[in-house]
Amino acid sequence: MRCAFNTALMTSAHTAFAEALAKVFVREGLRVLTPESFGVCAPESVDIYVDTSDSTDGRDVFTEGAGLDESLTRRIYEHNVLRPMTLLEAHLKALIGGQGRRLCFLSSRAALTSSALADSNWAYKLSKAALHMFLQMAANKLLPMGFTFRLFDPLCGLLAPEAAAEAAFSYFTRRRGTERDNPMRDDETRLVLRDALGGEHAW
Amino acid sequence: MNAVFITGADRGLGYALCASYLADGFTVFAGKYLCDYSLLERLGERYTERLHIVPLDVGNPESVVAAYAYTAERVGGLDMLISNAALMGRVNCSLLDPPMDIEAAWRSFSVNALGALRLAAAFMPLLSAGQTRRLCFVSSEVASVTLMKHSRSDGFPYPMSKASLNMAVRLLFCKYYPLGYTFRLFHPGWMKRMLPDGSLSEEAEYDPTDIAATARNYFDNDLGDEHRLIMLDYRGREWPY
Repeated sequence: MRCAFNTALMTSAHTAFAEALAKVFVREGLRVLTPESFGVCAPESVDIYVDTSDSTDGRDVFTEGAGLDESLTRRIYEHNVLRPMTLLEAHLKALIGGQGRRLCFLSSRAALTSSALADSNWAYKLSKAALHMFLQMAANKLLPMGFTFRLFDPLCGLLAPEAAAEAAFSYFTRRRGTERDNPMRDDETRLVLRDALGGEHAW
Repeated sequence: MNAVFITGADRGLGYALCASYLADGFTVFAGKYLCDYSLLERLGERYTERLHIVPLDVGNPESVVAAYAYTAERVGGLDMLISNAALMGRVNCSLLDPPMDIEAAWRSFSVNALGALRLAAAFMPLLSAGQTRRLCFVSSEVASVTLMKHSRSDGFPYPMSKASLNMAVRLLFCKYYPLGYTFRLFHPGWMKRMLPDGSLSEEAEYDPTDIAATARNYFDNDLGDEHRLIMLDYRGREWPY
């Protein structure tokens, strides 16, 4: 069955996962747009939006006395929070003009406050906590307008990018929870994080 | 003698906590940020030996380092660190009312989340030398992704920063609880604003002095389940993340 979306906008296709996902979109018949492809002429309508921002850094560690590296923390926050906010604002009009109104973002189960560990990536985890709240508040505004949200952990390092991309495509393009179009079974009003193996995780 | 460091002590809950700990014989290091408030100085007239007013902007790493040096010169150890300083206020940061003030999100994050982390990182040596080894953080109900059901008209930055604060406390807890430190995460409720003359605004529900008493009950006493990091509110109710 062909998916219900015609045009996908990806904020970047430079990572292995994003590149693999773009290939799956094309294989399934979607037109894939990236900022490089449309330049300054932003598209007028987009059906599904995929923000692939998900920046980590091996130097992102906490040390007693010094805490976090200030400039590195700023860069990670810019990439994982400020950039997604800016891009969503920039493309919201095109999304309102599209048919799908589906917004997809990347995160990690390691960045959930209820289960996060102090091993590494402190600034990354702080940034994702902010992103999660931004998306929850954005969902509160946009769900009544017909938007739906996907927050996805591609399990980088555990799964091959191609396998994660197949899982992402499946999750991004189908409706969640609907059982034979029974609205009582719909599950689109919750913002949840699911990983590439189908696991759903508590905030 | 017990010693405690409290940030955001110029007014409101921070100030009320200072007054309460001083009344109970504590030595208090009070982080001062606001130039137009002198409530701490007036309090200092009563507690000349035990109240130390420390210039502090937790959004500035150098200021945090200077505050630590000031404190370390005057006390050998701290029993408790209370991170209360926060950046609030209305900003234009709504998706449906562009343009969003994106930089406001960073400013809130830098003070409300990163500021608390800067403080904890810097003050660990003094806390290590103290007897209680307790870190207390004033958070908010709006830190809870699970229960965030509204989109405030004044934008995203404050709730986003408080969600990051809860994550920061979670990471500190994971690192330092096994080393003997204990943690408190507290949602104080909607408090009346304390004005420069010490009076309270009509708006809001609760008197900061009453909330300070509730907070102290949570901050000062040992819990039966210190191994579990939770966020409690002013009524003792637990909030999910």
